[in-house]
Amino acid sequence: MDWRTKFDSLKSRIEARNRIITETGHYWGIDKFALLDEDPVKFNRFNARLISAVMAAREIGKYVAASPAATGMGELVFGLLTVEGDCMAASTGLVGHSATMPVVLESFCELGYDVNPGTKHGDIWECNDPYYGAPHAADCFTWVPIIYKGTLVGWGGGVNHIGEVGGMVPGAVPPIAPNVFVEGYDYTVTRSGENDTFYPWWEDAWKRRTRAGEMNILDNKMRFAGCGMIRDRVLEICEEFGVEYTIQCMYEILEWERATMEKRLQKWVMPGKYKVPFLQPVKYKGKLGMLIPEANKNWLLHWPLVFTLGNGRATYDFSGASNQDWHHYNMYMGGLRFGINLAWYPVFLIGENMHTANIYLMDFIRPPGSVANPTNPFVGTPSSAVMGCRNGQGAMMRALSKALWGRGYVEETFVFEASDYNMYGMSGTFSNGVPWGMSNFSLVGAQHSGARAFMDGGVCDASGQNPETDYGESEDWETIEPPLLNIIRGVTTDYCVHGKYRGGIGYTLAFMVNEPGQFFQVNDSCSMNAEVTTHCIGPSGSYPGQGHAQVYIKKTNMPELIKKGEYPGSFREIKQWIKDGKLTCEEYIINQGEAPPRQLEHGDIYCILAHSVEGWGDPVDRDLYRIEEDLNFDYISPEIAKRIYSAEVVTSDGIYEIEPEATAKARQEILKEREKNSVSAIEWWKEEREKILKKEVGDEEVHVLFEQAIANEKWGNYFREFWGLDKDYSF
Amino acid sequence: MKSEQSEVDISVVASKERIRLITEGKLPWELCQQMMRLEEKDEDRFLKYMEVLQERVPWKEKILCRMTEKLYVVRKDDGSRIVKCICGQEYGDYRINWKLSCRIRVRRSKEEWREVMSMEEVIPNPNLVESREYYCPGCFTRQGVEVVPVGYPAIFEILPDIDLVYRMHDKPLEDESPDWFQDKTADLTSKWAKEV
Repeated sequence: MDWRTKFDSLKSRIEARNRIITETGHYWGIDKFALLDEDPVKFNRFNARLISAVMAAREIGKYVAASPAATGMGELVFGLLTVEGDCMAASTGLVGHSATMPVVLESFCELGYDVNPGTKHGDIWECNDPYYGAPHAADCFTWVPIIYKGTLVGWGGGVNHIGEVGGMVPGAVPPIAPNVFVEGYDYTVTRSGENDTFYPWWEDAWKRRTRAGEMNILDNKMRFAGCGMIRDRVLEICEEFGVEYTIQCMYEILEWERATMEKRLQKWVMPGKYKVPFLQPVKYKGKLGMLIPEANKNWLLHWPLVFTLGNGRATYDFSGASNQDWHHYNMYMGGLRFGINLAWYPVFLIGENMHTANIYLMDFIRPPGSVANPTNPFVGTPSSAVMGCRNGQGAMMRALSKALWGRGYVEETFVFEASDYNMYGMSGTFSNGVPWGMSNFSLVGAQHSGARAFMDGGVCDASGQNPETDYGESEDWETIEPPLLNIIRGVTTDYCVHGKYRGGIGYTLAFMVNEPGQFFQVNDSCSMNAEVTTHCIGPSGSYPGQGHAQVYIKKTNMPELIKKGEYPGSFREIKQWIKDGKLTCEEYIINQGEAPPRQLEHGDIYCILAHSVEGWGDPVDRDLYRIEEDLNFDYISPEIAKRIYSAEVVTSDGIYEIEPEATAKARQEILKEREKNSVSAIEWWKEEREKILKKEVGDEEVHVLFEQAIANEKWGNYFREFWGLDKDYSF
Repeated sequence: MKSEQSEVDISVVASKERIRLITEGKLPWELCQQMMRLEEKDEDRFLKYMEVLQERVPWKEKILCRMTEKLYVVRKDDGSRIVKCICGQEYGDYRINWKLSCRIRVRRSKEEWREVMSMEEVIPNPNLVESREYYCPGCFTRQGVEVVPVGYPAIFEILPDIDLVYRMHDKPLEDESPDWFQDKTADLTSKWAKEV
């Protein structure tokens, strides 16, 4: 049996593919590259044609859209899929999202829609439902069949992240969405048009179900335009190369890429078991009350990823993950695969094809009913994609970095905070009564990186989702958020994690609210780690990354100051102006992590403090010249240089310098203090064990975390063994 | 899908000297980027890396692999494989979480965190987590940090499959055994449990 066998459905065909891969270890059993060996020039010419088709789809398609994210940041991706849905060539752009295309296509096949109602040339298909494989409702997937003279050759697909999904809380990723009924406009696997034309009711649904209908319709047209371009190019390629060659060659390319990644995984990483847990706080208590009582609580979600590498395979083990529940952090497979590929692509994919063959090198342990594998089809999902990022990209990059470093590929160590997008959603009513809603995710475009094992983290040097992007144009974004006047964009002094090499310096955006009309509210989503650190582990003696905060400064005199031509240039200056009385306000509110909707008025200031990422190594080992540079760039203050790095700072002609001898002495004192303030491991173990036995572990959500994690047999045994507890111990 | 290795001399770009320099944080950024851009990495990197590391430590035991900036797994003359700090402090069997051989400082208040964190607005909530700093009992280097709820087991960050990596390099260790890739932390904690 091979792909040429006549199958009665695509579901049967996928089952055959999976069986053959398991039996042979090769994609569709291809262990020889017949077409490549026969004519390598033709083979490569064929592949180049496919790649140019998907690239052209993105570069031309994006100009059909109107949102700043699509046109300015290029937040979209197009891919060519095999008949079974494997992406064998994707464009640049939102590369991780190409990994969700196979998951949605598999749902399409599982639902049997290829048989009933069937599909034909000119059909347009859509899905943004995480239950069926989309990362979350904001990531809309469009695809079209490619049928050459009656033979299904594959699919052209496109994804982009839209700006408003129509949830109870406005924006693209609502920070409060306990169930699918309030999280926004999720559409299941749906045919949205025929004969290359959308059904009229499909476009009407965007207008009625979301707050930015016109923008979303244009995004949809953009996706379809790109898909149609891919389809037409592939049909031309079939005409030139023959349909049999086209299908077989696509499979050979996928097998080549799978085998290449397998080899790299074997040769580049230190095999072993890596634990990279993190915590995710969710704060609903007091916000939903009588409305949705089952969700009126807080959680501290446990994501205990254990990542095993060896022999060219990778296992993701989520044993001990918190239970699924009525919040927006339930993660489906589409979200996870999206996140995984964001980390895999930059590390292991170096050739020309962006593809999804790596999935055949992975194994997953996802306990059913947990946040890592929801069984309740109605729990909320807006952050399914975000959790995919935090596990697949954030946690895994940390493991991969250590694995590459351990094998000697020091230059490949690289981490950044995958999911800290600090996306903010807005809605309002202008003074003329026109309602509006949107979100801004420009901070996704340029994040900070963590320290590498040989250098400091970078400032605004990385974008996890879209390696090609940047922030886009500030003025473009202001057109979709008229009440927000951008007054600060820049790094924030002292907002970093310290170490021998420090993490990137955190970023601040600040706005003055300007004539918002009848009503204006803003919420903050995708800003993780409220009240904890970004991950549980800091590498080699550094602390883990610090999370986000928003600062709301109410009823200020900023409008008057701006009229005089004065406005602050940094967050530190805002604080100083308040201290000096120059900037007056009635309230100064700090919120860590995600923020529920908050009404803002003319003259209010809204600041986003957008995270920092971990350092590497012990701060007392930091080279003095690096500290001097940080001081002179205003990345850190003299106070912090002294407190964290024991640096004795002096100034000379306005330039900071460090006294080496005094600093060396101060560092010796720090080491003595460490000795004095620490205890032996067994003392620590006994004291901490006592707290477990007395259940003195903190707030209620911590108790729930332990109850649920220990109920998992594997994690429970690990916990009991660590603390020397009876086999029947439960929390 | 097939791109040719750009015309670089791997023996220069990934020479032992450059590996030493990048390990010490002294390789110029442009040369780091050259290493990053290698499409096919030098396959003997691990062996060269071990040589570089061995030359940097003041003791003689053979380094088998690296665990953190200053911690290594080494083989002792008696055949045991232990974790050892660059300062010479020995931590015991590498299959037991090395953190349980450290001195430990726990921080449970915002006041304590202010000593190590510099952004007041994002200091964690002590009712949710504590931080643990793991110090070398020999030199008091901070070898590791974790921020977790009270009662969370000390995280065993890496259990390396040492036998497998040497077998991949066609240099199998003479004492290889499946037992070397087993977490033995519970052997220690079960002993401690008898004392309480």
